[in-house]
Amino acid sequence: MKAVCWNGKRDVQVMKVPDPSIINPRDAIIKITTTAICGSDLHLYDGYIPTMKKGDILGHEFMGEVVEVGNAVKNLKKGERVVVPFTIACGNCFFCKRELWSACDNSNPNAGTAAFLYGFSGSGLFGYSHMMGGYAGGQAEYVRVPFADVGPVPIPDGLSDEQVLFLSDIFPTGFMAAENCNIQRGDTIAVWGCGPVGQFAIKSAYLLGAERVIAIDDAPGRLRMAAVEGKAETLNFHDVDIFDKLTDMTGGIGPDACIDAVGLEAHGMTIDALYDRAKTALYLATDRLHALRQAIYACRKGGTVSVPGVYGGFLDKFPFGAAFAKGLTFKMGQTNVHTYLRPLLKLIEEGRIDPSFLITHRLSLNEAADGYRTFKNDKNGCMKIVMKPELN
Amino acid sequence: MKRNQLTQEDIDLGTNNHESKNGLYATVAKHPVLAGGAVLVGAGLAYAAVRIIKTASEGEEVARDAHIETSITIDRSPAELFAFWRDFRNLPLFMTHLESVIELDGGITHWVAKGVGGGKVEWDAELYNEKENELIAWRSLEDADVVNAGSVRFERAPRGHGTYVRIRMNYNPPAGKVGEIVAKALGSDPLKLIKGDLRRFKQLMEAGEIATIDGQPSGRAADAEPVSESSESRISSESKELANSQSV
Repeated sequence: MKAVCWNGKRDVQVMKVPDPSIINPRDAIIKITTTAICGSDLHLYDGYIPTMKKGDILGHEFMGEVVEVGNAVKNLKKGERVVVPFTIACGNCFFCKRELWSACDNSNPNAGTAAFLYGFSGSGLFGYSHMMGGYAGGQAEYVRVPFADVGPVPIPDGLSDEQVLFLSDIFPTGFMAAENCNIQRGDTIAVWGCGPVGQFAIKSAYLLGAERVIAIDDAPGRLRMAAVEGKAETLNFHDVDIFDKLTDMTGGIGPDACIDAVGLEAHGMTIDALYDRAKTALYLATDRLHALRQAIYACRKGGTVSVPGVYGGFLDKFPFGAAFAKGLTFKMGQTNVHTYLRPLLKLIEEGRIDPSFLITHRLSLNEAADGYRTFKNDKNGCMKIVMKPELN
Repeated sequence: MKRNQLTQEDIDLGTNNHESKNGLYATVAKHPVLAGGAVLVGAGLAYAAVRIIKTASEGEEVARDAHIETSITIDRSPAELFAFWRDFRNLPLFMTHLESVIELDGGITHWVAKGVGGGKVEWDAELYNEKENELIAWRSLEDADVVNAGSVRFERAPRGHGTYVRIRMNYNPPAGKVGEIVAKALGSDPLKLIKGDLRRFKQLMEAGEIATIDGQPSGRAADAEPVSESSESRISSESKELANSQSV
């Protein structure tokens, strides 16, 4: 089959590789119909995530048709259309039973490596480095899905791939980011980063009862989508001082909750951002946290900082004093996708949200390298790339 | 059959009774083949304690006594876990460096560990302490390639948390050829190995299978080859269009 392989920093290539097969009884093989490039794939692309190996198959946002199931998978039928969550969860462990799917104890074959780095291991992930399991991803014609009796959700006829694909990651991720804000009626939510997760966080914040959502970015195209699609008030961090502006917009109080939908590659215009950049370049730090710092400073006393943005390592100059003094609550982590699949699918079915608004590019799998380059370099014009093997 | 000198105290106290004249060190010192060396097995181990022992027969030799303790929480009852472990034939399912464990008569078991390059490491062990649903303790017999003793305890965890499984092992790895095989098989960090064994035990008990990526495709496959990229980019024009329409 054809698959998108990671060959090194800023080097992805479509390769002809062997087809996947059933390895464990709870596996299924899915024929991919639509897959996407995620913002977090850019962290791999840019070489920020350790334990990648040349030849790893990328991709954790995908859906398709069940073509084969292991003998322990009773709930899926061949030919069924499914969306697959990017977190792999066994459904049996302490964490899965408490719906902390992304903390699954049993799905990461390389849990020891993650535990060595982080103390404990999270769940296995598709196409996201060997410390996260080393599972082959879904930017391919076929993919092996472990614990297929737990993760994949069947999609009713009548909904297109493009309407439901983002249930695999970014829609639940944006939704969980908003849910983590514990939104009360009348709340103002500020969202750093108007990429795909930010866009879903904006919409989800309104769905959960926010009165105002303020979106922050520097790409006019993304801000425009936040304004037009998300109905957010928008701020360009090139044009205004974000702290001053947010404080002013909220009458001196600050937003009730702040969402950092940027993560470890944040860029900004202030001294601390340049300092981060220098340190990262010198390998003195791995993560740039300009957006997170701003969120902590801007958030109102007793507010919540919600972090769906991915962080991989150590943070420098983290303003913990401000966080403590204001009594902030922090909520973060990989998305517990399984929890949100069915409720969010229902919202799509009811027509309350159509996630396909995000898609700016539709490519064949063969065009993946071009897709990564474009997604990396054209933050303004490129919001979301989906790839369809059938277009090859 | 003569028993070696490893006792429950060795296992429970680990390195605390090294000075004992009849203890592990004395045993090792009397058997040059056991002195020196690396690592054991069976369940993996670590160089937690390192002591130098002088032997009368061959001048100075080094013996390393390894003691490890580790634990894991498994969301199953102590009885279920005990039953699975007590059937020693099951152990190679999750202890990757074991090839087989056979139960012989009289509580004696025969263990075969995988070596490198076809070499094998074998020993007999006796089950010398057993409390149903609670404890299994074993120790190797006199002629073992690897002198070892260990116990596994199954302890009911707080409500909703299943069972704490606690492993304690002492072992004295072999020197010479056998030692080399064992050392190569186990790598440099036997504690890591046994932790991995316990994770696989947990996966098997909770999820019914062991998570793996062995056998999945990648671009590293021998017959993998690049697919030529479509030369004409269709992307640039679309992007410009979108960018041009923006203004905030």
